[in-house]
Amino acid sequence: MGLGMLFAIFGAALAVTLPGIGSAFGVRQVGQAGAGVVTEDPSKFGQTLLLVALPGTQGIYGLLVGFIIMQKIGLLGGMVPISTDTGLMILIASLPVAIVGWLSAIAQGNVATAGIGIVAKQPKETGKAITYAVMVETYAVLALLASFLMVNGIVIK
Amino acid sequence: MLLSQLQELGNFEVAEIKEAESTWQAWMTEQPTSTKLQQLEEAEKQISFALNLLAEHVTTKKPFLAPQPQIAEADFLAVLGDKANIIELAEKIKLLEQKRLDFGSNNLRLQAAINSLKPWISLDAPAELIRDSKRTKILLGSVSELLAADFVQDAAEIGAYLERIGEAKTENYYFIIFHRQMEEALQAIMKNYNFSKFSLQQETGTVAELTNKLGAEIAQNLQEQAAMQEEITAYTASISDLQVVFDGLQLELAKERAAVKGLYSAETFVLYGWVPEPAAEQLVQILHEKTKNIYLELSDPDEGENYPVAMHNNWFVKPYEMVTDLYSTPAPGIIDPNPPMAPFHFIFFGMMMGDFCYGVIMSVLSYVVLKRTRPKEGTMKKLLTMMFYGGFSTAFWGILFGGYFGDAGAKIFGLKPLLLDPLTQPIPMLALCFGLGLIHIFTSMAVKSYLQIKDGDLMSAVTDQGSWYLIVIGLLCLAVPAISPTAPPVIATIGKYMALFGVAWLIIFKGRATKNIIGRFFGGVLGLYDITAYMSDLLSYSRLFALGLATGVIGMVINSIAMMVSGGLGWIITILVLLGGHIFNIAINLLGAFVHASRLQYIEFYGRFFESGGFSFAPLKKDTKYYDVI
Repeated sequence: MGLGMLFAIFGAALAVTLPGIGSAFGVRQVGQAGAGVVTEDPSKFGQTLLLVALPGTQGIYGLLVGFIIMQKIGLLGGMVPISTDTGLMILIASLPVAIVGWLSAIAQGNVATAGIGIVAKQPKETGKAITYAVMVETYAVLALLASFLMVNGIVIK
Repeated sequence: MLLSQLQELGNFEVAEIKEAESTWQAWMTEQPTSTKLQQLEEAEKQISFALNLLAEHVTTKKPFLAPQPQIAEADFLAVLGDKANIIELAEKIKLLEQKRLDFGSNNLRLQAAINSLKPWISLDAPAELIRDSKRTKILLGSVSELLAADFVQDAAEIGAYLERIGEAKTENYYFIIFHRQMEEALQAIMKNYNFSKFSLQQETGTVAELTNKLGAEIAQNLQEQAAMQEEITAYTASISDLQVVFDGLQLELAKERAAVKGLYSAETFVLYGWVPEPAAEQLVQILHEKTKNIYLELSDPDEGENYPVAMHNNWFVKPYEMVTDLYSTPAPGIIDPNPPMAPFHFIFFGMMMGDFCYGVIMSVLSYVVLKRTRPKEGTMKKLLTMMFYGGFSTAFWGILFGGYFGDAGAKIFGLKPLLLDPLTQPIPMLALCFGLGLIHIFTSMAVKSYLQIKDGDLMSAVTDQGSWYLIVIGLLCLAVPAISPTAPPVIATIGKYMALFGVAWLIIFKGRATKNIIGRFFGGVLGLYDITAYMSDLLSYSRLFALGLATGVIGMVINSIAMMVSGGLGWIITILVLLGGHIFNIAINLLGAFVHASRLQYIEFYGRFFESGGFSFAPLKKDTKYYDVI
């Protein structure tokens, strides 16, 4: 196996790993806050769950890009030879979703945790708490798109 | 009574009477009786306590997805006729529970007493014998086992008689007899060794006897508690009666709470409130039919008065009111934002789900749940109905993009996307997203200009919105030759002049509020900077692509994982992976599609024209919790 393949797999691994870590941290933080609210009022489980789920999407976006890379380099059957240049290109293309996904999940976790306070004190305004958290998600979505377009645009000769 | 009639109609909100309205206030001095309200609230509290308590004792599970039970009005009233008894029953249940809890705390106390007696259990002298005499005294107490040996030695040295009765944990327990002469010396020793005294509670009998007596008392208490528990459980048969009375009280409470907002004289009373205009005529007519002794006056809200906001929309737009409810109640006077918003939410939501099979599943599921539970008007019903519609949109986009359980349709049946495949044609897909986004933004600008024109501010409408229409469309026309070289070049020329005219208009009129000519010019130029806002708003619509991609690609991932394990007995795992995976994919993307579709409305659409600050119309109506009275 050549260096190119190595780089490409590294890219796929980064795309899955970093946002996954970020999401885990984000979800953990919101989950802890949510559990606190639910001890007081178990009926708020559904509302808090929405906020807990939000920082989890980055991990999914990362997996998505990782999967597309794996498919592209034929890791899921029928390996294709990858030149070193192409491999590096794929690695670089994975960076937006890897880095933005990672940090935005943590940032979104912070916003969603604050939103848990809204759920606790003003349960009718849960929609606003979710909207705030979704504002952060925008950047993960944009990064996903950029990574996807780049990976998609790389031609394997 | 008038309030019952209003409640029956359900479209009149009783409001507080403000100073200005009440010129007759001087002779409307009777206070409305609030004692009845207090009584009702008290009864409601009793019943809700009883219901909560009984709910813990109910063993049968409520059937899944059961609708709210219905009850005929005659039956409802029949049970209500027995209201006093049922409220009494609730009080009885509460007392019973309180007594049961008392027994519980009593037992704790008894158990603590038994525990403290435990080390003394082998003290076989009855209490009546443990008495001080003329010359001797008797002491009971304990000392730490580490010091015990020394303590015994010291005490014996001065001539006291000690007997070890028992030990518990790290303490040794002693029975001491001593001559009164030794008292001071012994006190000093006891202080030295931190001796803690113990005095028997009982007058007669041995410790063992007392312990047995307390134990018997506990057993007795437990028995009584069990009996009470059973009695409470037996009352679960009356749950439905309690629920009916609770609902009955709700109806009365609503009326009473409205009634105390009125003004009263000895013989008359005044109510003030809101009725939606379309229902007003009918309301007046019905009330006049019911009674002759009434004077009604209808008037429009005063200028600047903050009146309640009610939405009236058709079957399609209605569920989408929920999206606006999550955002904010619009201020009175601006138009209902739901009709222009609903179709976009419908389209965007479906685009981000984008899978034919998912759409069908969503619609079928939400239809079944709607039919089974028959939810009342409210958020739940709106949400389910929206999912039902959203399923159609999802299925529609699924056909256009070729999504059938991810790539399963394409793999197995070779189903081709009708419009384009986002995975292989990302640029046309992005263009589609931006195109829809542009229509969305233009629509919100149109709503804004409509509002401005309605306010008589034609100039703002033309400058703030009109010039931007020209600039954006003009720039688009300019780009036409770059996209399709065959298009006539005149389009680009027209576009150029449109954009230039728009820019010029903006520079000249944007700063019209400023008197200073130079300030006005710079105000106009600065206005051009808004182009960045339009650009970022537009880019925001790329999420339509990204989230649609997420649904599709995760579906693909699930399918490939499932296929990897197939073969042999692996097909069981394959089915499990497919089932679990696609359910997960639907769930996570439902959340994503809903919140992002809503976000696009809140930020990009409502951001341009929405004014919040209203409050929702809350009419006096028949609102029950447990039963649907028919």
